Amino acid sequence: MPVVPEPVEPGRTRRDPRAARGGLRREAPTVEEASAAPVSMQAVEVAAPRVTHRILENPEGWILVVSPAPEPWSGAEAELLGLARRLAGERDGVVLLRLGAGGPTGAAGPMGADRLIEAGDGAGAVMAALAALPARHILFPESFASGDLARRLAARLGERPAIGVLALDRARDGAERIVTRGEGGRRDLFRAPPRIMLIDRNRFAPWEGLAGEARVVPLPQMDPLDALSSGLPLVETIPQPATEIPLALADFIVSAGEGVSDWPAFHQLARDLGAAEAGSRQVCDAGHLPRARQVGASGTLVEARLYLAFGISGAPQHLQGVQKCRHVLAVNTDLHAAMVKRADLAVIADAQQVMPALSRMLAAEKAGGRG
Amino acid sequence: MIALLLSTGCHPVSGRPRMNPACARAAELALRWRQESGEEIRALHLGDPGNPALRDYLGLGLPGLRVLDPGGAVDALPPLVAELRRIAPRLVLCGAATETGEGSGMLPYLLAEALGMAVLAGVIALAQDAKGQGVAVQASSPTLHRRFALDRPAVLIAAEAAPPARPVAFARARAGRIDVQRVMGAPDAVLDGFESRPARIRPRRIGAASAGGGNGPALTGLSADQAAARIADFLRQNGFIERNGDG
Repeated sequence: MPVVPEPVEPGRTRRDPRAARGGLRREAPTVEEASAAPVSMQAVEVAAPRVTHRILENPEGWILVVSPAPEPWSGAEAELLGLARRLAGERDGVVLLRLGAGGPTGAAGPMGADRLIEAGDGAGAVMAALAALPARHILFPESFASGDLARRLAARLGERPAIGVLALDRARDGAERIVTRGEGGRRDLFRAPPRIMLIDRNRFAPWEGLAGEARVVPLPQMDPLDALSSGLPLVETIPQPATEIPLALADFIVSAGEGVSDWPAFHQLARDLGAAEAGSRQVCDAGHLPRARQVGASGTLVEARLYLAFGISGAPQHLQGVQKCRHVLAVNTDLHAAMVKRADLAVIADAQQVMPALSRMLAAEKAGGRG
Repeated sequence: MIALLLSTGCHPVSGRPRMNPACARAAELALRWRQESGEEIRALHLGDPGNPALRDYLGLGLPGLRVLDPGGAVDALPPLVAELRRIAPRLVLCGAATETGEGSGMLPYLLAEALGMAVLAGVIALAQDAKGQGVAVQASSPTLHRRFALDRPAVLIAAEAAPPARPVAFARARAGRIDVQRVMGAPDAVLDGFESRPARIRPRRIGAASAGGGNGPALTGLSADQAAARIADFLRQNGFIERNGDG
């Protein structure tokens, strides 16, 4: 909408608050640069006196952020780097260690990383990175695999780790402390940040200040024998059918409502997509799916990244269940269904026709890709 | 022989003593393993022998329980290491974390380090293979289970996804015997150094996992194949199915 300037009375100067605010915002990095400059840190000037990122040569210490693949939750790496940057202050540098393939690949610099190590998998990489850059703090995201790794590392190094760090707190004397839960979640425990920390999900804000350099550091030779493995010989790995993942843990869900009558096609599609099956209350009441597969207020509140809904109108109780889903796709014959409004992409069509068509398409692609 | 480490918990709402659910799942794994292999279970608890929750463990069907009584809050590691050295079990089964004290879940790892045993987390079942060799099944992720051979002494940590404990039988809870043994222990100086306050509600960051707002386009008048193609495109863009030619 075009903005029509108001007629200004002659002889009266008008303040422009937006310009004043914008000016302040732009100066923020320069303040940081000024305070950082005396300590082993130089700002690079690129044409203008605007600082684009900080360069650290020899900081007092390092903070190592371990980012395993796959990322335990979306944004885990950015949150851990945000905390690391805050712990680092102006003295320390932040190293990001990316473990394994298939993890996050975003630019590490803007998230606050001064160094970047890209390693294969396994704990051998953590030990090798520690040997190369002795770290004051090592941060892991809370997940089964990295929790196991962090505890093994702590037991091996004789450190007492902080498990499930929730917040950063300042004591009366100004010292930084971290907060964890104790006594089965009934108490908050405050202590100085220990060397090894396992960070709880969605607790810390990503870094928004001056970008780091994210200089790539080659990993010194890795320990060929994984020093932190379980010590038991692995016999076999057994992939579990994706359709039977508990709903609360599922990342990708295909869900059916009363608009679905072709159940063999629905089960086939779930298998083809490798998605967990779910249904609305009506469907579970009718016995088409077991009660454990019900999504909604009286079923499971799901946190899938993608929720593909066939023939679900979207009762408020059902929409409550999908509140935390990142993407929702809906296939429904009713253009005015609440589910269609909630969806990021809706297709107004009959589920009985779309489900087999999608299965056929996936099968054809699979055959084409292999041939 | 299997050593089963049991800690007591505290109900999060009523505050009453109860079995630690994580330890109860470990007990369930041990009982199922005993049924399969006939191996003896030695249940151990370090703490107050008068805790009423200990009877519940006996009610699960454990023959007896040995309680190491340090007479107060102590660092659990040294007395447990000493006791486990004495009885030298083939396997140690325990829960993921206690509901008392720091509850960091470090104890199994420290025990394994001190006793020179292997340690495996996330165990959902114990089984025997064709040759009678023990196998532990680990739930590495919801979609992947791994089987490890139990060919050496190991500490096994029961997973949250392990089968829940069976119901407590009152008669067994009354009939089971509890042996108490006084042990020496030193207080955990590091834990005592932490400042402790009642837990405050600390909400997670909103918008961190930003839920999609919806109100996306609604496509009408498509044929079934066109509709399927649009859905497949969306799935491909978001990495839920492989891109063309990747396979």
